[in-house]
Order: sequence, then structure tokens, then C-alpha cells
Amino acid sequence: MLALRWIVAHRRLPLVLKTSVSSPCVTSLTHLRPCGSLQHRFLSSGRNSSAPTPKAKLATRLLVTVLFGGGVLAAWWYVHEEKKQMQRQQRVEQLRQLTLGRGNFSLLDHRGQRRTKHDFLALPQVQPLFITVDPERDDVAAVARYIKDFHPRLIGLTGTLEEVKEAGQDFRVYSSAGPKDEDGDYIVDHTVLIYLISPDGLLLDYYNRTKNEEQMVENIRNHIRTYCKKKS
Amino acid sequence: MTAPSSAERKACWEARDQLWKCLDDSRDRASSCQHLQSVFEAKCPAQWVKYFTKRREYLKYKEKMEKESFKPSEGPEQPS
Repeated sequence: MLALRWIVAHRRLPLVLKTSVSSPCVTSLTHLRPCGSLQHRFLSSGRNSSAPTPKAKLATRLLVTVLFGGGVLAAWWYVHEEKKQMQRQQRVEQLRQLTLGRGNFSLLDHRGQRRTKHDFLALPQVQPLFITVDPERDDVAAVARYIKDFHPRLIGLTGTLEEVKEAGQDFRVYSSAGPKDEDGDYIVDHTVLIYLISPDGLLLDYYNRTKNEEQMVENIRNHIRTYCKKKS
Repeated sequence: MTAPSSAERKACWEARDQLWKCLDDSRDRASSCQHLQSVFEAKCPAQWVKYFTKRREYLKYKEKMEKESFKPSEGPEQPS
């Protein structure tokens, strides 16, 4: 690493440029060799034969400016990332204080097997789940038909009205069935969110309609990273 | 009655999008989009037709409010 010391306003140079490097280090922009001994030199002085050419002066100036600018950008980016991380932590903390999802829901999966929330904790991979808010119409067969068009690992869950209601209440899911028409058909209004649950079974984060796939993936990856860091 | 399958849902959404595009192009003149209206009603469950129709009204109303900014209706003069 070159040791560069900046001293302002040398009387010959328009830019701030007085470096203390021995000249063999700065012959061209592409050849920066680690320096041996450091000597004070004014790069602007063209009086002796070993002084750098005007081209080398410009190259050095440019290089040093770029390095300095790069350093500033790197520092800014680092601070920016730190701030983002802090905001993420704050959000996670706020959600944790609500401790949503304390219960242990018990539902039937799309194969008719009984599953509880604890079955899905501490799995090696993220496990996608779908829970119906309309168990009256969505029995096991209906759920199986519905989820087959989605990811192969997606597990669909249903149950009795009470079981589904309890699961929803754990996470404060809102749902409200509309009036039935002459065919007995109705629509169900409900929260449009995807919930991320941590390995300890509590709500870790949620995603609304404005979040796209990339944002969700980045968010989940980040949670995995910080969660593992906390645990280790 | 069984829920619409993935293909049926997709067909319904496409019919809705085509109808709404036609309405956008003709500035909500429903008469010029009669055919697409009947296709939409055929491809979507009745409850969805009702829901989407109401949703469009809501979106148009919202757009109008955003463009013209809310004008409170005229009421009796209040003493200041």
C-alpha cells in the first residue's frame, strides 16, 4: 500500500498534490510497485533528470484523485449499509415485541396428515405454507387441487373452522366472508400478506403486495444471515 | 361449487384486462366494449365479476380524486 500524504497548495500545482513516495513507484498508472524507502519529493519539480514527466504527473494526480474519491465512496457506502442494517434491526425488534404467532396451530395438510406449527420449526430449508381462510369450502381435496400449480414444496393446510380461526388469530390475520349469492357463492376478504416465521415460531417479517420476488429473497437472505449470526 | 383452476383464473384475469383496456381506450364508454364485457362475464365467476366491476369503479374514483384534488361539497356558511 502506497503511503500518500496530502499537503495542500503547493505553489506550482493547481491541485493539492505533494506526495511522499519515492519516484520509482509512480512511473505510470498501470505500474504501482510497493515502495521501499519513502523520500520526500516534490513531483512538480522538473529540475533534475529523475523527475517525473508531465504525463506521469497527470497520471499520478488522476490516480490519487480516483483513489481518494473511491475511498470516500466506500466510506459512504459502508455507512449507508450500516444504517440500512440498523433500520432492519429496529423493524425486527418492533415485530418481536408484538410476539405474534405464540400459539401452536394444528391443521390438516393437503395429504390429510395432521401438522402442527412445531413440525415446521428448525427445518433445514425455508418451508412455504399455504393456509386457507375459507375452510368451509377448502377441504383437503380442494387445497390439494389449488396448491399443485405452485411450488412443489408448498404445503397446503386446512381444518375445521375453529382450527383455522385459531391459526389466523395467532398472526392477527383478518378474514371476512361476504354474503352468499343465489348460487351459494361468496368471496372472502382477507389480509393480503405473506408472513415470515422464525425458527422459534414467532413472526419475523411480512410482505405486502408492493414487495416483488427479488426484494423478498433479499429480505429473507438477510434474516437468515443475521439470525444465524445471533445464534452462533 | 368448485373454485376456478389456475387456467380458469388466468383466463378470467385476461378477459378482465382486455375489457379494462377497451374501457380505458374508449374513455369508459361501455357501449363500445359490449363484446368484451360478455366474454368477461362468461369467463369469470359471478362473484368475481361483481368484485372486479366494483374495483374498477373504485380505481376510477381514486384516480379522479388524485387528479382533481378533493373538493368538499358546498354546505351552509359557517360563521368564522
